[in-house]
Amino acid sequence: MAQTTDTPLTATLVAAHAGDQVAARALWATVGPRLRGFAVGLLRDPAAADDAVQAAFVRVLGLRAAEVAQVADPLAYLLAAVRHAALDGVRADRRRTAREHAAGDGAASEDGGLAAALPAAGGGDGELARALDRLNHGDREVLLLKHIAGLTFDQMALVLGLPRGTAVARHGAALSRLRAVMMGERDGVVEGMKEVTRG
Amino acid sequence: MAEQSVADRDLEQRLESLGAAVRAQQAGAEMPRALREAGGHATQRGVEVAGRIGPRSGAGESGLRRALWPALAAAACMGMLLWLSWPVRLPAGGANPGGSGGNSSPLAGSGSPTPPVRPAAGAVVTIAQAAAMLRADRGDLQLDGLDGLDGSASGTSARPVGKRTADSSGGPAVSATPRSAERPLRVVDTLGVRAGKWAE
Repeated sequence: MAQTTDTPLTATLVAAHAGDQVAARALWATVGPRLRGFAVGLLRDPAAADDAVQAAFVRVLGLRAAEVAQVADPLAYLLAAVRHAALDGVRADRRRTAREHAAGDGAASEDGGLAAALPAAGGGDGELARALDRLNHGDREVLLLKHIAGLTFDQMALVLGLPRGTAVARHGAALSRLRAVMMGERDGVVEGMKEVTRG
Repeated sequence: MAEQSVADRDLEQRLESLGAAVRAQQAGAEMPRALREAGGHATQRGVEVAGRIGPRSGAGESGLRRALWPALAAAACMGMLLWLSWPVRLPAGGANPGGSGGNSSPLAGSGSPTPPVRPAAGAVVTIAQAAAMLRADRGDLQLDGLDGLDGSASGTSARPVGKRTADSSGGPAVSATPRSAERPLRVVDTLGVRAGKWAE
């Protein structure tokens, strides 16, 4: 698996780990938007995304300084930590939802979706945000890593623990399904408009 | 095929635009508390470590401490064993050349300094001294004055074979009580016969 190195960012991470607040702010300015954007898109819940990012930093800050200095690609490492924390949160949510259903407590709250979670960011491309939201978890994760977090395929391979070729293939497949979802939405909208016109 | 490729590129461009917009929006997100308090975490961790073994960089000291504890415990155990075994190793007045059962008999515990010298006939010795002689010499003494002593089956004389383990012989050295240990006995005779031969 290809390794990428980001020495300046590693030094910033090490300094932030040691308690340097300037370095902490610089680190957050660099990786924060990517981490949080990825987490929000993946979890479709800003509060849960904050929890995942917080858990990722708690994990990293719990490492020994020598271990932090060995992190070759802090962005990929932090994204992997966020992904793990998000998956833990998703599993916990599933268990809670199952308990609520079993207790007859009604359905869990509907997801706001990516478009709802990112109202301003979606901008004029709400259609794309909604389509992303309708993708399954695996496809959404790949596209978020590539286009929201801005990773290269090598970094994606690191985060997902896959060979680079597999990451590329998964990205291509996810793009195809995203396009299919968008076409389906358009068809549905057209059909709906026809129904309204007939009515 | 070419149309799909163009469509893919178009879709990727839209995704890149969406990503840029998302990142721009998230740029104002508040820093996570864990990162904001990273120095506090480190300081707190250092304080905790310092409270126990020293500065935060004392990982090696922690290892040294972990290694020292077993060594100290082992040394303490060795010292305790040595202290316990010290009296056993001391010769009890030459009364225990056989090397076993020394403390099981009240006579052996008396620590009589009587040397293993065969007394002359008619000499008066205590049971403790006689027992020491018998042990040291595997002696063949005839002693008078054994009345009332446990194990002295009959008469005023007995011929203890001096085998500490030969309980069946009824030797006074084995069966005498502490109070009778100092009771004077008179040596009747010294036969100079080894225990084994006497038994035959």
